[in-house]
Amino acid sequence: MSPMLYILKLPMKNLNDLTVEELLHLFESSTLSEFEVANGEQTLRFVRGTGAPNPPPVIEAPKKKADDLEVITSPIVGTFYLTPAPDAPPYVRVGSTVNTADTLCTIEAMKLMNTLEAEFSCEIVEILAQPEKMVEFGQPLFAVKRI
Amino acid sequence: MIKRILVANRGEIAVRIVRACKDLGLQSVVAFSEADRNTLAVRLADHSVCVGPAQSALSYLNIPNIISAAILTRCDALHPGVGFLSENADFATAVEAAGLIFIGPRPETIELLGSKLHARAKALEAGLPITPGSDSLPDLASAKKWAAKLGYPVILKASAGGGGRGMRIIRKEEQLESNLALAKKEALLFFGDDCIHMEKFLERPRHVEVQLLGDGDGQVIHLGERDCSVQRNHQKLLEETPSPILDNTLRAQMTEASVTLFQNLRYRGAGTVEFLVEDGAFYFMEVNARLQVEHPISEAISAMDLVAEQIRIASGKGISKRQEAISFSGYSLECRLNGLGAGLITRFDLPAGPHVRVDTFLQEGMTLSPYYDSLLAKIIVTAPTRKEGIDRMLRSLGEVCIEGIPTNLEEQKMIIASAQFRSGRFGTDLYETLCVKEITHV
Repeated sequence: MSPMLYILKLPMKNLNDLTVEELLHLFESSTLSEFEVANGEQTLRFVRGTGAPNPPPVIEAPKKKADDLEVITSPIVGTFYLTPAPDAPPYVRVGSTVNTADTLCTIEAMKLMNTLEAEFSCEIVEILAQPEKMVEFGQPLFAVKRI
Repeated sequence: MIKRILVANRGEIAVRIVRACKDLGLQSVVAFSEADRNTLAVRLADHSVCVGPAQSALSYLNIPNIISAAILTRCDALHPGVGFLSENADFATAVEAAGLIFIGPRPETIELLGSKLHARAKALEAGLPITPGSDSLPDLASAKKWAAKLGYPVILKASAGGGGRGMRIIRKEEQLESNLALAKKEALLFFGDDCIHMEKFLERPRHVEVQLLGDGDGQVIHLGERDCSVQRNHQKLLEETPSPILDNTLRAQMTEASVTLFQNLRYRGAGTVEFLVEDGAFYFMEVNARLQVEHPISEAISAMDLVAEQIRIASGKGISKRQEAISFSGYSLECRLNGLGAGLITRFDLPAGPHVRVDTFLQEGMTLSPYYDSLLAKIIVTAPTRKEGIDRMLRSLGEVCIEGIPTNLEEQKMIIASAQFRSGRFGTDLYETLCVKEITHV
């Protein structure tokens, strides 16, 4: 369900006579789902929050990377594992705290298990890569908060 | 059977290989660096994997990451392209050890040809004339003895070298001592091996190379020669085929001797034998055990697809045609457009039209990265004769408009339009001759 888009090409004089506040009122009192005005130099676009089918991504605490969160990325290309062995418990879980040099995960490359260690003490806020899948260089693995 | 190929390269050659894969109905995976995320090869390929940061040493030369990327994306073969790891025997070995098909010569062939001294010995065995030269030079005394024997000028070369690096021209005995020490240092630095040898230096040679294909079992064909005499600091600027200075006798001698060399090596894949030609005589220089940047001109006159042949040979299907079935027709000229500085390209108009081929990986709004070589695009034209080819190239270059970064476009136009280039009679010093002239005019 893509919302209809209306582009109003107003004569420049009229548009410049209207303030942003007035335009907003215009939009709110209309039935439009999107509203875009342009005067050649600037473009102003209003989008109405849509209903259930396409909920805008609001408050999803972990994904909203706050300033104090840091992302640990993969230094190599390989297969990402959270556990040292298939039936072993994971090195870390969401909420775990780790110290400098603690193992976060292993990345298997060319039949070698490379362990990735924490460079600083932190709390694991989110695991961003899928276990047992390929990760590429620079791919985000963990969102963490320094302690 | 090859179904999916990892392309371990970047730039226009990565695009070229991805296109060949598509033409053959194969899947392609491009291994790229963080600086190349938004380039054409990544966009055109079926899949792509980031294998490292912008610096080549950590990405395009990162053997473990590249091989892991190939395995984890379920590729069955790997194409190394040109440059980077394409002539690295350790890499080819690692690729095969990982159970992948290396689209290129056997690792031991690469190893052998990587040493200029070994390659020269093999060439002699095959009956190819080589420039008179020494074995490895252990010290200054032996260097002096050899130089006296060969006669000045001589050239010092890193035995493990290539690409014009680690070469020093010596005109007098006084220059020998300091240059030998420097050459050894440079060779160690660039190639990890300080073995230096000496060859007679030819003053105004032509650089002519023969394109070959081998099936790995002794079947070898050639696709004629390429004349790459227009160079700047040993970097090729223009390439043409057929060479304006070869007559049919010389051409037959050079191609036949090259085929013999590749038969002796039981060479697998595409490769080039490089020669210096002076005064109607030719001397073996080296073998490039890989695809070459200038391969399109050979494709143009032989109606062959060299990358498709490489893949075919790697699949064990052999070469698609026998020598007798290949007919050469017409003339082809390639012009390399290089950036003379990195930056954002704000306009990028390239030529088109009949008998004009353009190989590039850039588009307007993209950035020429400072991390890699400066090739922007290759313009390749085909025509019945050399004269018509040169005219068509000038027409094509007239259509080029690149803004945002400085390029060598005007320089290339000047060279191609020059009376010397048109005459076909010049040496590898043409660039210097013309540019010095240009400066004195100003």
